[in-house]
Amino acid sequence: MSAITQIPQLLVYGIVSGSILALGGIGVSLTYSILGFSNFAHGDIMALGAYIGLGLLGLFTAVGLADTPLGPLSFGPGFILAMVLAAGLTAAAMIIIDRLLFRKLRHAGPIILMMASIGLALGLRNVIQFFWGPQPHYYIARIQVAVPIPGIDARIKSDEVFIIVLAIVLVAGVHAFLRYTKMGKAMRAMADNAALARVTGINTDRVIAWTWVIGGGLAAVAGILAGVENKFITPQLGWQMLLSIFAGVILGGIGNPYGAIIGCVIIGISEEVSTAFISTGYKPAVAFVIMILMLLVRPTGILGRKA
Amino acid sequence: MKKVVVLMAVALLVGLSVSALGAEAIKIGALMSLTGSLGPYGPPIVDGAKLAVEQINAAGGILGHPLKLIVMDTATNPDVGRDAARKLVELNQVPAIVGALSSGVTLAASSVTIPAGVVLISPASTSPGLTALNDNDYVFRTVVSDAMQGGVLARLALLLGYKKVSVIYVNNAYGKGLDIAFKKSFEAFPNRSVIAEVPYEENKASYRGEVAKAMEGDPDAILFISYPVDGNKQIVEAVEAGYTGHFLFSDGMKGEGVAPGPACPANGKPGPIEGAFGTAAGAPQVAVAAQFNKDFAAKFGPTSVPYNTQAYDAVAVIALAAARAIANGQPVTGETIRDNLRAVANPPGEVVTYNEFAKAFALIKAGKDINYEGVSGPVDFDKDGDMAQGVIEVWKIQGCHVINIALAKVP
Repeated sequence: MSAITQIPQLLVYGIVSGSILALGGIGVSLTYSILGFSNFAHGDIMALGAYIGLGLLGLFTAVGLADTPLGPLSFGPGFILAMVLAAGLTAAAMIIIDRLLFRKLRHAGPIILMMASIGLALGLRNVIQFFWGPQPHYYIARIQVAVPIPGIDARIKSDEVFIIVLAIVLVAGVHAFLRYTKMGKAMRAMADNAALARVTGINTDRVIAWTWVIGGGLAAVAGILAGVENKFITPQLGWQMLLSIFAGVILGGIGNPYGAIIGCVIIGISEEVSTAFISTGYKPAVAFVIMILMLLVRPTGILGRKA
Repeated sequence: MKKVVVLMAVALLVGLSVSALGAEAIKIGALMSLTGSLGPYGPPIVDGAKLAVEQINAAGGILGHPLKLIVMDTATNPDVGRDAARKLVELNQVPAIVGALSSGVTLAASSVTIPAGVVLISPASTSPGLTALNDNDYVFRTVVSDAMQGGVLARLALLLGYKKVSVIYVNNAYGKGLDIAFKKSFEAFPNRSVIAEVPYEENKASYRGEVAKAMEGDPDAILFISYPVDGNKQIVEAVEAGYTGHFLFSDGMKGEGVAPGPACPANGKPGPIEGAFGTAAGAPQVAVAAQFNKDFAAKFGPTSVPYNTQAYDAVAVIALAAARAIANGQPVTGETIRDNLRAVANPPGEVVTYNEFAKAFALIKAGKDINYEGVSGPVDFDKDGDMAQGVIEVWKIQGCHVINIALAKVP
């Protein structure tokens, strides 16, 4: 197989990885536009979600909740329940963290907030390491053989189909929420102009709470899906993905959640396809190069507006 | 009068305790991977060294000097390993160190120990790159070089009938060295070729790209020169990507690397790597090895991790060399341990073996030559500080367990 014939398979990997990155990117983008800072803790929020999910999964197994795989998937209803609960718990954790940390810094500059988020990132990672240790944990200990996709020279696992479909459903859900609900409109208004939004009577505290709920919940799902895809999770799981996510968010146009989704999928695909031509060790560098090129050519990103 | 008696008693007590303390403890260091890629291997190897220390102290210490082992974690990382070596050399002022495990870490640590004149004996670093090291003869190992393991792997692949083999190797001194040794030996056989050599970086979330490259061209077998955690991911990803060929493993994958895990399902059904073969530096099937395994299991529990015997032997030869230095009226330093190492480990001399420290120390005290024959082999150092001969074991996965099936004498 030459580099060219590898491409269909790498595209599949890229779409899967891009879907996971996109779920993380939405949160980064919303935090940036509504709270006004780059949240460096977002990767570790993903890891937190993944570990909460792991804990719940262990709990369910311990109380004897049968986890027979659903159809062709390698996990069962217990896993789905764990994922939903973990998303909820992570969202709740983010609201508490916002109260304890970011709320006190609301009027500090973006640099202070960014520094606080780096502190939070280190804190979360070490809390995870304290409870679960630095060694990798199996997320799913079942082997699932990838099946050939008809028509193209590539294979895909049922779990990967699940990841792509779930990502599409969640993105559609976020879109519907932002477009058609009152809170979604309030969020967009606040992203456009926070002061004006407050004057028009929008409850900014509630908007901020919802931002954390959506960002945290999606981050947890992204972390768990990364666990499904890679089979193992480590406390570094989210931190390793953060650079790619930031690259995707900037590529798509920082502050625009739709741009973040497109940007993250492009980054995911570029990183994987690049491995056909250059060493796999350069994957993170690929994301970085694309981000730098975009900043040079079009600093506002694909969907960003002219400042 | 009473006062005088009390004083005399005190003086006597002080004198006694001084003479007991008089034999100052000899401290040696251990650089071990307690965390990082080789983290699963570290503890049983440390236990192998500890067993030797306990038996030496039970035999009265090194001619009366109690032996103390200071264990440091290298995190399987060259930088951390170098710092740990510096601490052992400068703070603890040890004359000799057992370690490190990974060849890359051993090389990094040697950059500290060689200039300081401290003996470094690795029980597990198998890279051929250590042989020609410009080390002033301060770096040794009690494990055979991969130049030999590569040859046995190649013979094994030939016997199993594999014609095209791909190699995935960890991108460091160990992985690269063994890959080269294997390729050289394998391609020396007619119609045998290595069709892909894929390096990988440690501790990544996934290795799909590397695995896909190794699967190109439908190899009969893929040789995994990997560390346990990484290798486990690679096995799973290969199977999930539709790989149906054979698996071949090096020493890095023995034990925790292959069983049990996703590649070996808990439901008792044979997993995808059932029946796969591997190699590792082994212990000869001698009576002392059986006794070692029995004593080790009684103290620390059984283990299938390699190199605990090599760690035991490394401590043993350091202690014997130190004893010979003391018997000759020399101070115990890195230099004197180095100079006495071959005298106690190599022939000629009366043979002493596992847990015969009391006998060995008595012989040394009497000025006799000894030849230590270890648990892992004859432990004879050549001019490069490598093992002059050794044994490579061939193992197999059977029912998700590692079974040792054969021993190959090298060279």
